[in-house]
Amino acid sequence: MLKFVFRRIINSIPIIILVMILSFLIIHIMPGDPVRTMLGDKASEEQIINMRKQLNLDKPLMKQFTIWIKDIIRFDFGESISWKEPTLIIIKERIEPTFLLAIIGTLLSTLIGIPLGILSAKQHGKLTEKCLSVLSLVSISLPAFWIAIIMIQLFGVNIRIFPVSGFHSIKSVGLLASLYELSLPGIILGIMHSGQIGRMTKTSMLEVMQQDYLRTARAKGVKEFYVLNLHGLKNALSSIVVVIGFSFASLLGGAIVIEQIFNIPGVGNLAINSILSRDYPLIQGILLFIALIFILINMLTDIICALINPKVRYEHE
Amino acid sequence: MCKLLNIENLTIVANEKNRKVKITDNVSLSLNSGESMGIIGESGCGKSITALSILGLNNPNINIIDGNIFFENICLNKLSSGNLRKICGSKIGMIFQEPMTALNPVFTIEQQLSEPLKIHLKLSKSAIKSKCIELLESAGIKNASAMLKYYPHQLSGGMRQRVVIAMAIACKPKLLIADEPTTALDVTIQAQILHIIKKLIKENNMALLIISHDIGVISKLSQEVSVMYSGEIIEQDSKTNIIENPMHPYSEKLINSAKELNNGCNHLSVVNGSVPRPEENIMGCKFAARCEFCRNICKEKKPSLIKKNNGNGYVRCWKYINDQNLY
Amino acid sequence: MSMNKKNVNSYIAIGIILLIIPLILGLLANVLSTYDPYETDPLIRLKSPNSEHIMGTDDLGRDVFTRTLYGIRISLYIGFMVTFFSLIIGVVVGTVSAFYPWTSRILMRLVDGIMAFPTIILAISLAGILGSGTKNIIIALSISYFPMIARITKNATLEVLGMEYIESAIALGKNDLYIIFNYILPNIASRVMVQVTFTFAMAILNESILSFLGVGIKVPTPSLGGMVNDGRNYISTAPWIITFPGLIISWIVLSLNMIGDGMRDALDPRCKNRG
Repeated sequence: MLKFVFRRIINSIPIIILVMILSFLIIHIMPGDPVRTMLGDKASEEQIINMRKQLNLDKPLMKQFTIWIKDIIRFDFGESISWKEPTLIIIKERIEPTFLLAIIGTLLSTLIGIPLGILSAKQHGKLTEKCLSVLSLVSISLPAFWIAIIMIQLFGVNIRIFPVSGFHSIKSVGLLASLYELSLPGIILGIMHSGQIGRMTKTSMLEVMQQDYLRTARAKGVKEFYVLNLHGLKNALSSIVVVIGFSFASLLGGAIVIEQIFNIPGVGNLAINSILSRDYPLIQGILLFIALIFILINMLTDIICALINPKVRYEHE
Repeated sequence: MCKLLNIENLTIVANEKNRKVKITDNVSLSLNSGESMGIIGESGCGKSITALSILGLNNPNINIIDGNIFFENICLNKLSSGNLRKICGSKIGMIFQEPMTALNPVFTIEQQLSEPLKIHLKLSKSAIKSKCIELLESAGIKNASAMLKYYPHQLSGGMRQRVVIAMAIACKPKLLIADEPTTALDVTIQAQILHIIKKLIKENNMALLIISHDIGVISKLSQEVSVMYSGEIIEQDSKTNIIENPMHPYSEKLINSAKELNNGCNHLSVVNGSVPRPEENIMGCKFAARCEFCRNICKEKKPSLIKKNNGNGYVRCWKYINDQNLY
Repeated sequence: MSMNKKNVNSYIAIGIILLIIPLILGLLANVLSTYDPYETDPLIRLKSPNSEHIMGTDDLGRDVFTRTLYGIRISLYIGFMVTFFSLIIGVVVGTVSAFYPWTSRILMRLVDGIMAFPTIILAISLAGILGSGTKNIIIALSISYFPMIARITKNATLEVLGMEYIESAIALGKNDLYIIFNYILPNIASRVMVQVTFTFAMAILNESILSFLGVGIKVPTPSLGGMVNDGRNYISTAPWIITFPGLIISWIVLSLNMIGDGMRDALDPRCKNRG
């Protein structure tokens, strides 16, 4: 197992390097002069030269790149222009609501998606399955921003059971109050992401339900409930975990739209603000951060899969 | 004395594409406790489906439409699935054809082997472990305690089949059903597995229902033999009678070709043609098209299963029906 | 299986029928509505749906129906262009890297690298950096979506390359282009098309997100996402401004997803022969 983990970490090194290169290059693909765009038309030549110096843009490309890599290795993801603060510190302040929201969303979508997925696999070909499959399609087709705005109107303004805006840290208002503030966005994300998890659960359960070992379990006298939910689900779980991990990672990267609409000061909100204010170093830093989180969660997902399904880890050894 | 297993007029149908296909027709079998019975036939003749239907393990699109299966006077096919599961594994054990897929890949051998012990015998944790080791050893596994921590994919086919056998006999069932237990194994392993099954049924005084297409396997393990052809039983008799004096032309061909293979004959007698597909609607004897003794009556009317003149066996062939009116 | 086939086909059929409606609405926008999508009229601000303005008017007095039609048109246009470019780039990158393994080191690594970013974040950042506007959205979304198609193409091509008939074609000395066009592409087409359909759906969904966030189509050009953003503040007084564009986005994306799902089920051998 340790061998598997080690190997998995080694395997992700090239992709990490690649992500560093790509997030470095992104600022260089933009048309025109990034400094001029950032500072606007009114900026003086002197300001522009200073800014260029500050961002190392006056140096040759290779030199810039080595500085970028060296900084990252020292956990320096650059400095925001509008905030005048290091990117990582800004992100650190924003990570709490994003993390909580990602956990609520993933937890809910798993709790909704897996049982409904199993149900539709059991009811394959029947009316229940058809209704659920249409519902799951609808859930992945609806634009989140539209649903969120309607939900705010419905539950925040008309019925007033959920708070609809803002977030206060656990430190200032306590865990429950913080979670309460995230309840409506969390529920929306949970329901929207449950479609994907439910679909994967159904597909892999249908495949597993064909397998001989379920017949063996029945022949041993295992109750039908455990045949499906223990013998079946544990086999189907590794592909479901991949989807859950993917959904968690994309939520950690910031549920941009939801954070924006609910006015939650999270990573997604920061990302969109940095883009709107053309704070290029900050964009670069956030992109790199999100990609690294993505890679990390991917790695953890693979490790969890290997823990669930021993075949995965032996295939790699 | 009541029979241990009594299958009466079992007719099984598969629902396919809006139509029903008969898989077995009026199959009757019975087995006393401690006895052994083999069902032999070509693949697709319905023998496995018959065996699986005893424990209700067929796919949901395969249904019993007529007949009953009695086990100790309990009608298994009328039981709720919950009550049937209480008999599965405790009173009836089952060994499957494919050891490579019969074990669950994500659970250790110990987890899988201890399940029937936990469910039916409700043993304590420590008792379960020692029982598991005992079971594996009785199935011919040497380093049993090390094996407990293994996952199925770490074992060879033969080893897996031993585990499946250990699981089937875990609660000392009164009836063991073995569905082609050696078909998927190497020849050298086949003999070992047969030996183990034979030893275990003797030690535990279990009845055995063995399904195979191989007369060699059947002859090693069973006293009684039923020959199935295209969903019907065409001959039923003691092993010696079937092997030495098969009466149905199909049994005869089957036995002869097996004997010739064993003797290394240059001329193999071949049963020409193949089993009719279940969806073909045949009025007469199902074997008529391949039979060298075929007469008009064989194609027109189905023979019934009649008692043999000599002994207790049954055969389904016009050759032995001496009803003058029919000729 | 017959049951299943019927279901699968009905999914594709329903999806196509559902898609035809917005397609007609978008293509015939200028025929179906005589209003100018840009013309503001303070006198008819926030009018609820009536016989003159069947979907009402927005805060500047523009006809919501007309703007929705032009929004559909631009959404479908962007969706189509993104799908087209992703398909071309993806299939070229995929087949080339499958055919010439040494190129795979560079090409597929690039694909892996792009796929390490969540698509929506990447698309938003690219659109933000390139600047808003139709052309830049198409570039941003195409860069975000071609990697998936490339990956699927590569895997499918490798599978086909392992088949015997390909080996015999290679042995016969057919040149690579001949093999790609006559053997590979026809065989991978169906699998790639499934992903293409989903790409179309996601491109439309994400274009609406970009426009909603203000990094997509520039105001005052009508776009479905932008209209939802405009109507946000008037949701209690004029809910029609936000309702219709949102419904249409869901409608289009749902019908495309249905087609994709139906195609995938029809192709997936595992879905067949299921009891």
